Amino acid sequence: MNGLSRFRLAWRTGMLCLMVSGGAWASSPVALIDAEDMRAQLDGHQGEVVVLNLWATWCVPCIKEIPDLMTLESELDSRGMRLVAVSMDDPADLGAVEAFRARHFPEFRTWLRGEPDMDTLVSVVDFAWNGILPTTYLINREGQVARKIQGKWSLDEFRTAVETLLD
Amino acid sequence: MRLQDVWGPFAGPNVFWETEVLAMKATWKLAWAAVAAWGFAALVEAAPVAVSDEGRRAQAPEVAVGRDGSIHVIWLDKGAVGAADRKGKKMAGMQHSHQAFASLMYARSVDGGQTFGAPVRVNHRDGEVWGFSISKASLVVDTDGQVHILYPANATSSTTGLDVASSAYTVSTDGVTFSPAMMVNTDPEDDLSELVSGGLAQAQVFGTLSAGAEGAIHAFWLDTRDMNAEDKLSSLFMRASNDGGASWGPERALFSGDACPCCQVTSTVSEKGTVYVSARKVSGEKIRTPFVAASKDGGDQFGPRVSTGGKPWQLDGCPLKLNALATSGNHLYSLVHNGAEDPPGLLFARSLDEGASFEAAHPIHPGADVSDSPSLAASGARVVAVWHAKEGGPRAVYYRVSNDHGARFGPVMRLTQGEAVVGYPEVVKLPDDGFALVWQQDERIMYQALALDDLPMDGPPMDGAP
Repeated sequence: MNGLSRFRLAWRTGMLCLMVSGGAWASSPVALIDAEDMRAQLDGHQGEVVVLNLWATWCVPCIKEIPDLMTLESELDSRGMRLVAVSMDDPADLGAVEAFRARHFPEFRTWLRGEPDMDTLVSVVDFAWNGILPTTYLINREGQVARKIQGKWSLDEFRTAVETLLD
Repeated sequence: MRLQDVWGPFAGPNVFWETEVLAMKATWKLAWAAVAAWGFAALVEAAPVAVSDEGRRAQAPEVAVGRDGSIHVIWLDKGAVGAADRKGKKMAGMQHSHQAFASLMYARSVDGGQTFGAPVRVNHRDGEVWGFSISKASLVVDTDGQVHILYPANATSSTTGLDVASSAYTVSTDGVTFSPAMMVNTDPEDDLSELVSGGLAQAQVFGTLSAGAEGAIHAFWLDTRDMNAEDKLSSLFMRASNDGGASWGPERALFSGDACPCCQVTSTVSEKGTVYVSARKVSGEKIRTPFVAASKDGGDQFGPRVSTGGKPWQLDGCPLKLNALATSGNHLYSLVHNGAEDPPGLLFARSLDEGASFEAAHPIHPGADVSDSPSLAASGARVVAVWHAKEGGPRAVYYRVSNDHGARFGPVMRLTQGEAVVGYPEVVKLPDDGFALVWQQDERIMYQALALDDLPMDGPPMDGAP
């Protein structure tokens, strides 16, 4: 094996490690997110279409919607869609939210609000949020809220709306 | 004849006179503004008083007043400020298996709200309360001064051994200690974990209490026992006591299988003894309609559900919106959020016939970007509405007052100022016909009495007519 081959092997090994660690992150435990972190998260996704979903463990329509959102993400990830899910449960219930996620949706990546007041967090994207769950914001590649969806949507409804922003 | 003609030789050139008139008008307006500002400033009787302890995460206050003028406040305690690790590390000492754990705190003032006693914990087991801002505990003080509380509790089902959320009742005769909690609901046998979600096999919560004369106490809650996989709705249940909570009649369903499962129930009792209960009915294509049902026999039989109005609100989601009620004479008042409005906000409606029908509902805060978290109190012809809203800036607590049974309201008044995170206000009538508020401010509970005598009642009718 020449030097170039060894370099290629090392490079591929390194990339594999990164992918594995990325996969581990994909099912990482729930973490808290405050308003500042939320801004940073969304800024980091500039140029992509973000589906920002607000849910809660006690919100039945929210729970029913999660598998569809995960499917949507897997379908449209390569085209630049990013799912950012945030549980609106209380920050003090971190352990319970993580247990819920691990039991019901182990591949689901979600944040938990780190602000004591829900509106403080949601105001990052919506000044006049009225507390409805689920609420989903479709954020275009320019970082603007293109659509606000309140209540559960079907996978087809989401797909149609998101593809419009991806095109 | 113009005024300067009367002034004759004292009148200067027209240009000066017109300048003087402009100055007079400006002075007049300034004077009125000053009077109005003084009047509004005089409304607030005293500075806010902190009820909960500093350093604790306090939420969702409720307030009640005894005949003797004692003021009783309860709220959820979510632990010490900063107890939750802000970056998701495991939290020391928080090993609760249930979600939404909290404790319920109580404090009392016997000096008209100038000071409050040290908070005491209502629930006997720490973290027993299944509570958050839109799943409040309920509080009433009966004519004997007993303090009755209904709160959502994390519990273990006596029939299945599974985690459930139940409605717990407790009473205090001394305002210091509370009786061991009694679950007002029975435990259903079905495991509905896949429907109820949140790690709960059943939920009998989002309840409320109301008190009538001669020891009548009514407990209402939303019950999942009739929930099915298709529409996942709750039933409205109740249970009543006729001896001040010493013993309770059987539980029973008032309306089965069509109640919005997360919109907290509210109830009030008129001077005549009419019992009103309100929740949100789901019909057709997920239309969520707030309703009121009335009982004129002390809660034995309830009449049909009557919509309190507003545009049909279609939502396959959780509104989490209660319908605030208040009553005076034959009048019943309703204040409730409607997400179908543009912008979404609170609608006020009144019934002049003990809840048999409601006049058209109208926005209580037309200039708000969003308004929510309503509360009402009434005394004679006076109605006081409070809520939180955003009006181009931080969320604040607002109120309006009517002196004619809700036909007209005075201007929208902002109670809280500054950048603090405030909300979830509750209003209560005081024995001297005054009113008082509690609210949540940066995770502390605040109390403030209002003096409304000087409030101008110059607002337009609620229907917008001139």
